[in-house]
Amino acid sequence: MGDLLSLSEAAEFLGISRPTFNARRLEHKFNEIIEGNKTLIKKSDLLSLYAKEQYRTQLLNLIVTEDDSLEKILIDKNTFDLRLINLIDGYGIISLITTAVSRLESGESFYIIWGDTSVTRILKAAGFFSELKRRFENRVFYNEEVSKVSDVAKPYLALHYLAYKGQERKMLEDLVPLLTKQNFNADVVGHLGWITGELADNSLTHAKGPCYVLIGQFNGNNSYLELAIGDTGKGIHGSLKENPKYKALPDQEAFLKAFQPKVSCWSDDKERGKGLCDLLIVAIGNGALLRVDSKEMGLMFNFTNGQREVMKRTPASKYGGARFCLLLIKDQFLDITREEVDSFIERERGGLCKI
Amino acid sequence: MQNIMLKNFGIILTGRPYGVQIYSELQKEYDNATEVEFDFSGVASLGSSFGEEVIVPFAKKQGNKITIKSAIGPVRSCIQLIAKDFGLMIDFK
Repeated sequence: MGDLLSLSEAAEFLGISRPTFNARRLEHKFNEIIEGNKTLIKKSDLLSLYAKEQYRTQLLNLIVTEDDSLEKILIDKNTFDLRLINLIDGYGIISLITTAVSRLESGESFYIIWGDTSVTRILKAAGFFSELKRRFENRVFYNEEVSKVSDVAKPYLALHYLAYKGQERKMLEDLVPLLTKQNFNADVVGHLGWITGELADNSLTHAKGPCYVLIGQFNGNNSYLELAIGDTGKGIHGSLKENPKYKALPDQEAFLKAFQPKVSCWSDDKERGKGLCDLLIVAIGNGALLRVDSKEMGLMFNFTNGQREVMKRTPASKYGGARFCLLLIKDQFLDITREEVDSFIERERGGLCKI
Repeated sequence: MQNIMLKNFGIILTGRPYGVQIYSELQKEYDNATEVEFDFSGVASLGSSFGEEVIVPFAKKQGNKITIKSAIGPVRSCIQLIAKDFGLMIDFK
């Protein structure tokens, strides 16, 4: 059913005075519920009025290279105003979906205000609304039916929900011929499959729950593929610290260390700890850009134009578990060794973890 | 030499559990083979977790050596990493 608000709470939610709200009640004839001496209104009934009463300029870029936070579009703890988003990419979409799902998985209702903007159309094309409807139909409310969102050309292949191991293979097998048709060469597609497989396997193992995968294809002067994956687990550092060997590490250090080879939540005799290292091997070899969030921490790895650096970033959302967004920019992949990744992380740990 | 066509198990070979499953199937079929080689014709992607579970045990039975055929760039790169991790000699054809 969603949340019930008192008349004062409703006015506060709408950002208008109580007398103004009383005037609106007469105009809109809300379904009011009387409980004892209180009059209550469903929050879901207020959304369209909110959309009319409140309009602010777009102020949030939810993209891989920026530090904007979803907090800016939260009207209250479980209401998004999507109209406030100016730009969005795969990183932003995955951040949005994992945040919404985190809230919904905790049993809360969720409310979304949308307008006819390019961001809303991209979200529709990526399957954001249909996924929320599929999983939480009765607990997600909108100011207007999202079926009314205009269609747009699809840079994003649909949001995939992976609930069990092996689903990523089927998803990739369907994707390979599509990407090949779009003139992405076998090298790019092959590396994308490798990394998607490793990251999805990681999520499904360590997050102990489902993950979302989104792949975008951008053709133009510079064609590139965008891979975004997110889950609602305990984050990279949380998983690593399950290994007693790393339990005492500060979270930031554990987060970065997880990318080193043979570093894993499993004991050393299992000889694991290669997936995140593989991710950096591919990213460095391609000259890619990589954004990684782990709960309330974020990193951006910049390997473009021969650089090898990692910077702290503020995650778009403190909800959810691990989120990755990899931009595969070039067609070529150099062979990078695990030792190079190890040296890179050791070098960066010294500086990054002191901040 | 027994030639194993890995495309028979899919064009995307990723995931450790899938690797464990495929190794189990292959082991039953090729347990008595003196030597096997892996043919990656038609395989678009290989993950290192899968590769470890399938390639490494067979290579270890063959003196840490194995022949890999028709591996495209990303598949080859992955196998080279696995080879270095486990001290294998790979003959790429």
